[in-house]
Amino acid sequence: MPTRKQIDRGLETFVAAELERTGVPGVAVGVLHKGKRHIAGFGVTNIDHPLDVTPQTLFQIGSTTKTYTATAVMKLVEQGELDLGVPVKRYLPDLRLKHKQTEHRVTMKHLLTHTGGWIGDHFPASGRGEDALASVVATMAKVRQLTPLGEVWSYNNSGFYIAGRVLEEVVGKPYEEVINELLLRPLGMTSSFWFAEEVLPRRTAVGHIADGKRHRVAYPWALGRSSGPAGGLISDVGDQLTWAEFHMGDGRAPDGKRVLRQRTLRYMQQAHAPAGNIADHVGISWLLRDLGGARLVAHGGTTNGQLSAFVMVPEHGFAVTVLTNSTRGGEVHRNIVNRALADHLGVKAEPPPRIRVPQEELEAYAGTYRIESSGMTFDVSVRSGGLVVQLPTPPPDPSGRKLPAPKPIPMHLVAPDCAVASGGYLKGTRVEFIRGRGGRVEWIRLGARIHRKVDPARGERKAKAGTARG
Amino acid sequence: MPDESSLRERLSELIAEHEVPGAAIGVLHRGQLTQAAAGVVNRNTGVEATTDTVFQIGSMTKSWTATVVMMLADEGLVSLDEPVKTYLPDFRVADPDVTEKVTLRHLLAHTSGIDGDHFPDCGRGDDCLERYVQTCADLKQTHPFGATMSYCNTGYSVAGRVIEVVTGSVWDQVMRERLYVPLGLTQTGTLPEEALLHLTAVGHVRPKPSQPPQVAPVWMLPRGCGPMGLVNSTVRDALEFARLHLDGGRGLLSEASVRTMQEPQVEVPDPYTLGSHWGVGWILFDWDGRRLYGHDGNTIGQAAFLRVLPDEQLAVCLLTNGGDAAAVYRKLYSEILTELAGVRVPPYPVRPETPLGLDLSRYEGSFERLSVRVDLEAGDGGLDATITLSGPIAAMVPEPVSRAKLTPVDETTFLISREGAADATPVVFYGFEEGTPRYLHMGARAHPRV
Repeated sequence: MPTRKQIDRGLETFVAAELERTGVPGVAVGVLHKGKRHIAGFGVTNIDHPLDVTPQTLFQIGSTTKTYTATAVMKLVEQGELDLGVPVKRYLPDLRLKHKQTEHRVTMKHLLTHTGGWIGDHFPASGRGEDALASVVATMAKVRQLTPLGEVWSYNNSGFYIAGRVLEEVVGKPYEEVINELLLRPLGMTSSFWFAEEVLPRRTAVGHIADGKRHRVAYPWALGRSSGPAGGLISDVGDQLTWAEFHMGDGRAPDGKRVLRQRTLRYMQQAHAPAGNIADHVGISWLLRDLGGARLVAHGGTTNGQLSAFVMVPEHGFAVTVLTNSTRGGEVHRNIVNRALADHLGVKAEPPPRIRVPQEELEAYAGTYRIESSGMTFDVSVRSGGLVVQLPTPPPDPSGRKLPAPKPIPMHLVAPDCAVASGGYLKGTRVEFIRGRGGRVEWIRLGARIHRKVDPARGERKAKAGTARG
Repeated sequence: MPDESSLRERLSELIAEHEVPGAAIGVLHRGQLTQAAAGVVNRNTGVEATTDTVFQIGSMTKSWTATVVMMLADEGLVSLDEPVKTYLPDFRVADPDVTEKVTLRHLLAHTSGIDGDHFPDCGRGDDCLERYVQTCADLKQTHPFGATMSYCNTGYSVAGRVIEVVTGSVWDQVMRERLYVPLGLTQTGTLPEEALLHLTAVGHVRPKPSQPPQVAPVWMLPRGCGPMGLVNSTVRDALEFARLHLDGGRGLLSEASVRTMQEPQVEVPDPYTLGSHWGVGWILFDWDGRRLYGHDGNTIGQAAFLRVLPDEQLAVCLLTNGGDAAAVYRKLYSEILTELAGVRVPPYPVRPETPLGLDLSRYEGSFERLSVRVDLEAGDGGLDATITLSGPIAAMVPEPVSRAKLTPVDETTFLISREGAADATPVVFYGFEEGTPRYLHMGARAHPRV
């Protein structure tokens, strides 16, 4: 049995090799196991102006911020100021959604479990002002409903804008100040910030776009302010481990003061709805995954060129967080998380065995799928007993630079309507096919979002709610 | 022309001597740029400053804002002599007469008399200047409208709002479209999320006068202060901006407007601290009979200096992030300008050897502008001053009451020694009536006697 020191040193060697292998400019890693922390930084913050990444370097943690939004909601639930189960329209009477029934019925619980059913990737420019969230929520009336409320899990950023806006309305302060006041200050998280002017004097990573091993700085640095509740926090690995310690603990802050009840924390980690792709189930914002017999309570984030992982195994008092500054950070943080899980807990991801299905069943999955938020399409085709997904080339970034075309992703079926990438940069990634009431494949869930199958024979059908079930 | 290595060496010596954490200097002479940098961008990280370091240029921004106003004047979208109210119908200050009459010319030449140190937090949004103008409704007069010159930050945010209204855009965006893009200023911007991508300096302040400069707790002023001082830039980019003026506007600004900006609009009562006159967005200097223009900038722990000597096709820019930057400026600019153009930075006036025998009681009394009161009492060999800050400015400093000594140079000019300041700096009494001054000009601001 290796000592903790040997494990830590082994992980550091592994991380350094991952950086070398991938060209990812910088990574910070934090591991918490049985109350002991190991934090380390690798590489540089910015390839144009290199500054060493240290354990104190700040990164955009992206969507892990959703767990802060959800935790603040739970704090207000404990205080009796919010109820997860009542329509959010009670708190936001001006809420307008395109699908009227959903508008009147959607609850905080739907929002925090990604089951609202409308297009979640809705990122209109909404400025830097304190009215940013209010103005983005005001645009929700234009967002199409894809599936009936509560039926299909599909990752939904815009649901968190509404949740954040409810926090503002109930507390009477801007979203960022709500989180500072309810969570960051009580927990002593002094290395967590929202705004560029706050992090500029500190060691701060900037995002990078990878093209193979080559990287360039991603522009712009900031997400819009309205993305705050879905992904706006900037933090370091130390504060991320404090967040993990809190969520795995009894609800008290490091200074002993109570922030939440323990049973509220446990409730957040229970399965509240089936999920897909990246999670088996969803808790109150937490993505839950069973891996080698361990229950992972996780999130993770993606901003413009900064990808991160946040994984807890509460039953073992274990957490690992990996913050990277590259679009290639996903493969790096996955590998580091898996390595840390194996080293500390002996937990290993066993790839599910491949199943054989007849050719005509595979053909049912093949076709063109449309990404509802962008209108771009991509193809799934049958090749040598498996499937191949060819994702579209992303549009040029705001500076006009072209992004590389993604490589085709080979997949094989591991269960009916469920395939796993067998190679390439997304190896191990799972997709699901979702059938409509008539049993026909109508959606693919990939990258945690559902994408509608476009039937060329019948022409592109007009999207309408209520054609799929989960 | 100083070569890069000697410039770097001299800059290194001077910043060490004056506790400046980091600095960059650029000398543009007859189209040729020589740059050097020394020190660090941030004492906490120890990252070295380079000539690509982005600094806050502070109030040097005012020349940039004024340049854009003049571009709009060239296009007939604004006129310097039209009341501001024409463009901002809701604009209002406390004095209704000023509300009706104040023009862009008054604002850009600091002659409106409107309380100039108004820094409300109007948020981070694109509506910050609109909100800023709304907060001006109760601003009182520092001095009667048009009576004298008193440095007025407020006027520039109001002018920035005029830019927004007549262009239908946001100030930051107009600056980008009209200056940064056409001039190729790739490292210049106004927002912190832009600066974050570059090697950006942080300001350093002394927690106490005796302590060394430390990283400032706050990086920037509220966004509503943009047009008065939130441009971030490098020496190269700042000198490209100067070149626009040296080269007759380069087709972006008319030659007539380039000249207008350099025409004296008002005499500065204290000709020693900054320049002898104010132009439109430029401070005008008369050094050894030579005409220069330029601007300084001071933000939270960062100081910037630009001097342009048009008859020599020479521009010098110094950007710094704390310490006694003004001392570095005075020495370095004197050396550079002497070598290249035979011009010195005029030394401060000196106390006469023999006592003047002034009746100091004539200067006694209280001189006050909004938020600053100076009480003077005759003392041993000069005047004892008690300076009391009030209002929001008082909340920004550790100690709102300070003491200083004023010693006479002549009947109008005194040197003020403040606790912790390296140099005694000039102040000027003026507007004498029966031998008694009606105004004290200190720190480029008029303080009327009360």
